[in-house]
This record gives sequence, C-alpha cells and structure tokens, in this order.
Amino acid sequence: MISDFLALFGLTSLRQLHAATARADELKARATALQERLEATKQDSERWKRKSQQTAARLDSANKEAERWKQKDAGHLTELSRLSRAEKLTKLAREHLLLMETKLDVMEGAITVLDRRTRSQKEPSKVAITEPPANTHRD
Amino acid sequence: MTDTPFLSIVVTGRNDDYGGQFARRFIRALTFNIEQLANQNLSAEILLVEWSPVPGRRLLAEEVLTFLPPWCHKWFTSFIVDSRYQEALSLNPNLGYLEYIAKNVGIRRAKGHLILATNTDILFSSALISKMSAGQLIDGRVYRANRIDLKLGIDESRLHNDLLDNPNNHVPRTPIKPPLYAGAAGDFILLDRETLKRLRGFNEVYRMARFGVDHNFLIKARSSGIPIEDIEAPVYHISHTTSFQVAKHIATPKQAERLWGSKWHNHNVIYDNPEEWGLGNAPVTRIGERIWQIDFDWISVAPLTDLRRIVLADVPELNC
Repeated sequence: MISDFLALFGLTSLRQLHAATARADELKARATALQERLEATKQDSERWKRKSQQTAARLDSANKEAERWKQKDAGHLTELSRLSRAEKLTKLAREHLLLMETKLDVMEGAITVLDRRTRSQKEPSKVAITEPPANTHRD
Repeated sequence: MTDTPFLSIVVTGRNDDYGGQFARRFIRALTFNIEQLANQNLSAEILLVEWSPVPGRRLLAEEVLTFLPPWCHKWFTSFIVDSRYQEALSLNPNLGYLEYIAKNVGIRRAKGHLILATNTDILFSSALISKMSAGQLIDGRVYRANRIDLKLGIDESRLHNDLLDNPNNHVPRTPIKPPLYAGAAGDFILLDRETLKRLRGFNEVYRMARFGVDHNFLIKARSSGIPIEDIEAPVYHISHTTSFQVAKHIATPKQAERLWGSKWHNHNVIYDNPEEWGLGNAPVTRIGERIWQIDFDWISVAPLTDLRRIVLADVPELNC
C-alpha cells in the first residue's frame, strides 16, 4: 500500500531502491562479463583464423614440396633406367672388344706364320727391292 | 667286342718323354684303367692320337703294344698324325703341341656310345667305374669329375684302388663347382658321341694356345644349351714335373708359352668349327696292327684365319 502511495509521487521504498540498484549492478556485471567473453571469443576467432591461414600456407608448401619430390623421383627413375641401359651397352661393348681382340690375336698369329713361311722360302730378289713400284694410277 | 663299344676313351701323346718316363706312366695308367673297365664288363676302345711324332724315335703306339698285356690289345687303336699338320695348323710358332686338335682327331673317329676326352696320366676310381656301369648317365649332358692329384713320388709301380683312395696320398684341391664344373677339365669330359659331334669337338679356330681350350669347350657346351653335371666320382692324377699344377710355378715364360701358349679370352669367346673338324678330310692309311696313319693333305688344313667362326659366348648364369 505504502509503496503504491509513494509511487503516486514518483517515489519508492528504500528496500525497493536497494533491490533495483543490486539488480542494475548485477546486469552491469553480466554485461561486462559478456563483453569480456565476446572480446575473448573474438581473439580466439582471430587466432584460429591465423592458424588456419598458416596451415593453408604449410599445406600449400607441402604440396609444392611433394610435387618437387615427385619430379625428382621421376628424374631419378629416368637416371636409373639410363644407367641400366649404359651398363648393358658397356657390357656389350666389352664383349665385342674381347671378340675383336681374339680375332686380332688370330690375325696376328696368321701373319707371324706367313712371315716365317715367306722368310724360310727364299730371300727377296734385288729387283723387287730396287725397282720402283709399277704405276697403278690411270690418268 | 661289338662294333659299338659303350665307351671311347680319347687321349693324345707322343714318345717325347714329356714329364719324364712318359710312355711308362701312360702304359701303367692304361693297363690299370682297362683292368678296371674289364672287371665291370664295360666295353671300351682306347684311341691314342699320336700327334706329330718325334722323328727318329719309336712310335708311342709301338711302345704301348709292346708293353701292354696282350689281352688288352683289342681295346687299343692308335692314329699317327703327320707332323706337317702341327706346322700347317699352328698359329703360334712357339706352341709345340696342338693337344685339342689331336683329341678331336680321336673324337671324330670314335665309335663308342659315350666319349671320354681325358689324359694319359689319369686313373679311373672304382666309384667312377661304378657310376659309368650303373647305366644312369643321360645323353645330351656333359659330365665332369673332380680330379684328385696324387702326391709326387708315390709308388706308381703297383697301382691299386686302396692306394688311390687313401686320403694320405692326395694333394688338397678345390672341388669343381657349378655352373661349369671347370678346373682341369681336359682330364675328364664325358658325353655321348652324338652331342659331342654336334658340338664339333674342341676349339680348332683359335690355334694359339693349349691353355684354357678345355674350359672353352665347357663355355661352348653351355652356350649351346647343354647341361653340365658333376658325375660325383673322382679321377686320380699321377703328378709329374710337367703337370700344369706343378710346372706353372717353375716354368720360365718361354717354357710356359711353349707348353701352354698365352692366356686368352677363353671364358667369353667361343667357336664354330668347320664341318671337316678333327682332320675329317685327311687320308687315312693302315700302317700296322691297330695303328693308322693320318696322312698330310692340304685339303684337310683349315685356313689360317676364319674369323666368322669366332663368336661370342652366351652363358647367362655367368653374367650374374
């Protein structure tokens, strides 16, 4: 009743005043807390955004690195196949060299034998030594 | 003996005292081997190719027929090869004896189902005779045997299996190994006649050396797809001062060249002998009981060079 009466004159009871003040303080504190949380969330969001950017950059770099290794690996495989081919060619060349050497041995042996046979048959005639060789050119 | 003996044994030599008392050593080994074969009822012919006999000396074949027990004579045949073939065929004037062409002369004329190319100082072990008589050898394969060297100075006058099999009388030696089972191959190469004739014997194209021609035959056999096996029974070798294992340490380079010729690419390069290999075209005259003369004729002499007959070996298992 008294409160209704006081309300007619724009007044309130001390108890009500205290209660309203306490509520206002409480709301103010909640607003501050919300403000702080909002701020923290904002910072968090900012941090995650940066992290995401960093991760994206790292992923990009890793992709680039992977691509580089892929190319390098392909290069190595090409190099390996080239080496293997070179090895085969070297082996083949070596075998042919041995074959040629053997054939040369035989030719050398044959020439030695023929030389000995020629020497044992007769001395070369003086004519053959002193006469100039016949002109085989046809002008 | 039937017309086709089970085994033809081809050896070469001449009465030149090679290694000291050559004829005596040969006759002892020959008698011992014939006795071993006879004990197992194995029919065999022994073909001695007397290459380029020493002028003024009795033929080795005559010596053999004088001292060999008469009952062994029917096993023995000899081919005396005119000395001019050595002169005409050799591509190395320092090399005194074309051993493997001489062996080819015997191989070409062998009648046995199996042919063994061996040497005059090789003795057959009882285990080897058992292996050969067991009838388990397969055509189309080259058989090799481990050679056991007997110690120098061993009493050769009374050869018997106990003496040979006694490890105290052996000189240690590396055993033969796959794929080629090489090592002293000239002392034991055994295979059926058809396969050996298909291969056309030992190398007659590279006539520069005796050294390594036996190994070269194994390479040729493998290149032709013919398997090589260890017969898993040894032969024994009577050591003497000109044995390769002894003489290689003491011979001067000139002596070595005369005995064996120089080293060559015998592991890599093989041959394709002409159809007339083994002096196939040469005229043959009978000059005595069990002795035949291979007369000289230029038609039988291969050209000094026939380079297309020198070819590369193809043995993949050796390239690993």
